[in-house]
Amino acid sequence: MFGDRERATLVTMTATFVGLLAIGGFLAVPFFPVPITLQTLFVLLTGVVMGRYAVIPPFLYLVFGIMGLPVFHNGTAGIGIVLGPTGGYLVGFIPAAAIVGIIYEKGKLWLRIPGIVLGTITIYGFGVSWLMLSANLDLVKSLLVGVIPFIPGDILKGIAAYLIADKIHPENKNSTV
Amino acid sequence: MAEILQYIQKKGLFYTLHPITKIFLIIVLGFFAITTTNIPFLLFLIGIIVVLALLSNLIHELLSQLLLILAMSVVLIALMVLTLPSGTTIGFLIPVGIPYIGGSIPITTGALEFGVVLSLRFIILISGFQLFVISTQPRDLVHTLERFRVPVDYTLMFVIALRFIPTLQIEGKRIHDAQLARGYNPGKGLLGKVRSVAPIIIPLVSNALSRANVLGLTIDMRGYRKKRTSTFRERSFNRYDSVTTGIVLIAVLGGITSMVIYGHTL
Repeated sequence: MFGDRERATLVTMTATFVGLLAIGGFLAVPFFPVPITLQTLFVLLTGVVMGRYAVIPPFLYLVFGIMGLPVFHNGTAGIGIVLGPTGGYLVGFIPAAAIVGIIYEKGKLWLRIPGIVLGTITIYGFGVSWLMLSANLDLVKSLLVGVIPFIPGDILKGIAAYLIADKIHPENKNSTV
Repeated sequence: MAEILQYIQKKGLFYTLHPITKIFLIIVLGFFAITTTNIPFLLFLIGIIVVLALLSNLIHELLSQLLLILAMSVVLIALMVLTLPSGTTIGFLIPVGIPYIGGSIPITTGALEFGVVLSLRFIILISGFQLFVISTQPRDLVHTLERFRVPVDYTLMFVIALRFIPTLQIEGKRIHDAQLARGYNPGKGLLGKVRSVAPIIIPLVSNALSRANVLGLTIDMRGYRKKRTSTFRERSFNRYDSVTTGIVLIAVLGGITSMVIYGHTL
């Protein structure tokens, strides 16, 4: 059944974003307890570019990492990372990419910034919930170590994702409001 | 940044084994690594991987990741010290002498031990998988995944992603060098690192998307989903596979028997 170019492009796009997510993990600035990586930027970009299919790359990325490919932050891998304190953030990539993807697919310009914000909040939500459970921390402490230090960086990453989206798809600037 | 996860043409044990045998071997090693918390046993498993790398002429490639693995181990141990304190306190991350915050993060034996166990586990998982990937031709990988009835879309996603990781890594470095050659000066230190990201990311993403589009068109034109494949180049099992599988099975059965008879635990 060939002649299905969209499907072929979906396959290659997915592979590209899995690669980008992995590269984002290597470009990590060590920080405790959650390292600052460019992964969240690539998660948001996955949504921006792939629409509703954005759910596939982070999922496959997680599967590859669990299988033992050193694709997680600082070249780590394995189920231990997903079950460890930072695992929630990794799992949160999946719904975050889906949320941004669905919102960008709607084509409403005014929804894009809230979409990116919502995607980032989703990653925080999953990350903090799992951090509380796995490290036995209370909410305030979890927010202090797992959210507050990263807000400035994530604001920058959100703005970058929005601007890069315009550069990648210049037609987006003039689409439906 | 060293190139990772790229097939390397050499001769040795791992190159003569069928990918299914290698997968079996790595699954067994991974299973033992995940289920045990015994540090000497984990070191023994690392020893097996080192011997396999020596027999496959891949020890240099394995050791080239040592720095990354050491950095990862330090981060993991520090993470455990910070989040999972247990056992006896042997010191403090912030010395007691420092006013106000001194003595606030205890270094405990339990956290250190768990950090070491986690680090050793990662070394086994990462090194095992790395040996498999760098000694297996992408073509053999595709045939093996097809044998496991993995849908062709997912097989391609896996193989292309595997190929793209080092490609993107090299391209990122090239773009960085090109920007510097054009006179871009992001400055030094952490701030410089942050500033240097934007001029790399935009061309990197843009190029990656163009490549994905071209590749999508190419594989579609070549009829990747037609399933009309040739078995001409498909690898067959040889005596090395039988010997390796036999040794692994004997080791697994020996381990299980020893656990049942003598009550050993992993």
